[in-house]
Amino acid sequence: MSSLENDLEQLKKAIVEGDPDLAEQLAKKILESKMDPLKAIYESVVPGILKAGELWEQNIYFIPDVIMSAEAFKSAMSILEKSIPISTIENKSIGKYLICTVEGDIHDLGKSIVVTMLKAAGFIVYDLGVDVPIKKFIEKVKEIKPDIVGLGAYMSTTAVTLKDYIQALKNEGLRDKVKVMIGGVRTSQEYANNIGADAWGKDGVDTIKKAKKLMGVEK
Amino acid sequence: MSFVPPSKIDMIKGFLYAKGLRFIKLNPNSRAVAATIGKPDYVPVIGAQIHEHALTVAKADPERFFYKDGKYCVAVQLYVSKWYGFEQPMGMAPEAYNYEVEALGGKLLKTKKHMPSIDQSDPLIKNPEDIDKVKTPIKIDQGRIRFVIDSINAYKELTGNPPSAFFCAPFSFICGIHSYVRVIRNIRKNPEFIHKLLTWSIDEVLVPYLQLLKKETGANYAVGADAWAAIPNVNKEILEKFVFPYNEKLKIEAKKKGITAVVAGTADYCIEDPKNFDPELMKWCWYHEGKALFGRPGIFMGMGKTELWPIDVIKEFIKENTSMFWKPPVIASCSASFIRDSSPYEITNYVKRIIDNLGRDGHLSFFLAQIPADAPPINVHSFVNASKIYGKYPIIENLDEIEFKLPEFKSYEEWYREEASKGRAIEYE
Repeated sequence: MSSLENDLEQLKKAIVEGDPDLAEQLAKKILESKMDPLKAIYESVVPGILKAGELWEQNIYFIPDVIMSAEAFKSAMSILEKSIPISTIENKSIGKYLICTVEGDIHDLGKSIVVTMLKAAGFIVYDLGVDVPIKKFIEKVKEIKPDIVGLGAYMSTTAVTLKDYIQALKNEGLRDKVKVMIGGVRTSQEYANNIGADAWGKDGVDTIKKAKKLMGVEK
Repeated sequence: MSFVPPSKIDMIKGFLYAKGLRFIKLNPNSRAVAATIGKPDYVPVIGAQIHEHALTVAKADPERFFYKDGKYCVAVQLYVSKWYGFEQPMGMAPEAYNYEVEALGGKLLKTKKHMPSIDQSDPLIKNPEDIDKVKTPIKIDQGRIRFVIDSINAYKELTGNPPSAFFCAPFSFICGIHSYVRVIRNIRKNPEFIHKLLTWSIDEVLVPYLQLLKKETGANYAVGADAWAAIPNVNKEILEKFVFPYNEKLKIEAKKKGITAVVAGTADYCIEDPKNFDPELMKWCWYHEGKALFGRPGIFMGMGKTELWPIDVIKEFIKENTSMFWKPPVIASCSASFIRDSSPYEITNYVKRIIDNLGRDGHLSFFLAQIPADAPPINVHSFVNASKIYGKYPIIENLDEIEFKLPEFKSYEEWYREEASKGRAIEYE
């Protein structure tokens, strides 16, 4: 194994094991070696975070492990992404995903893990943040024209407003142009069905599986 | 275990009834005691965590409920709980994770219509040196401490029960003041700081805070909330090193000040997907959560998908932990999505299944750990109704012989008007 191959392997390991400092150092080293940053992203960074997701799914990793892997992922990406032209990222993406939590809901933790996983899966993610009113949401849907919107609600008093966002998309003639996913601790597949969403994302891993399915890139 | 501190007389009555003295008349508090140690007259639904649901059912003013009027906040929860027929209506200031952090200067993200949350992206203690900048102890005029005190006093006044304080358990408190992600990061990078932060939180913040609440309300019993220390928010290693020892320390330090503190939610098993259920880890969690609540092993079904928990594993746990002097009690529940999305028939069947499998010899009660805002009231009434019908001791051999009926109940508005006209409810408007 060459030194560079070893660095790529170590970078993947740093992400799986959740070591943000080491991931940053290795990402810098890889850039200094003039390696194509896309190679590092696709061979180390993305497989690293997806492996952490697999371990979560297998019940081997708990949330703290996933968070640390996500931190390591972000550390490496923040270094590597700077060297990639935006057009390259757009060409390689599988779709545009707009995400936010609904008005009155200021919970960010679950959404930030979902955002990390979506980026790793190849989506261009537009994160509107938390506590986003319907008006702003609709404006951004019109402006960005996402393939999928993801709406998060983490309290039962805010989950009841998810249907209003879907209704607003209908009122604006946008519902047929965009897929809608919902997520958050107070939601479920049944709830998604009841309010007319296209899919429910149970967690980060489940969200990317279903988002890819909605995009037709995974069965 | 009870969220209402049982008086000595209720303890004795509950104990004697459970041991066979059936002529004793149980009240809700002694019934909860009897259900923990044996058979009461029926399987009680002790209470529910109900704030978001109560707010919706009573069409209450959210701003007043969350921010302005502690008595109003408690009364709304108590009345909705009474309407459902819970044994020990819970009425508390609902933000168990916010008040202490807010009082110390932590940033809350507030909206008028919904419960606020601590801003996890901008915590009060970002770095180890910040700990010295936080002024302790918490004083009565900081944040919404008066609101909390008003709520505890209102509970005492409106129920006649002894006052009970609520607080944020040490691990969950540091997840508020330092942020959960930073806590997790520093558990790996700087564990000494996390130990220091936990010790500081107990000695400088939480125990003095409980003393303040005791002084202002007389509450010498306090229940701590610890949802951040649930599985999978934490793992076994974190629980063993950073949670259990500090809950124990808190209990000891509080006891020295004449306060009995229990912690709820630590090691709560919240893995959602049945295919990922790990029976050994479940048992380990039940053992520890039970010890925190009852002082001995017992099952408290908290915030997880408890309706999916394997009954056989629960039975195994009970068998493995039963001794001559103790049989683990079960406080059963169901998830927020189950109580919201199921039909009354499905809910009734669930209650029936739990009673049939776990309640025949007593040691069973129910506590609805979470009722979401939009749960249909008929579902909650069905739950309570089923518990009374199927859970009446002695429990009949074949519960299927009891015909399923939808519960009959007055609308909340009608019920409330009647209560108010009889002087049993405060008219606020």
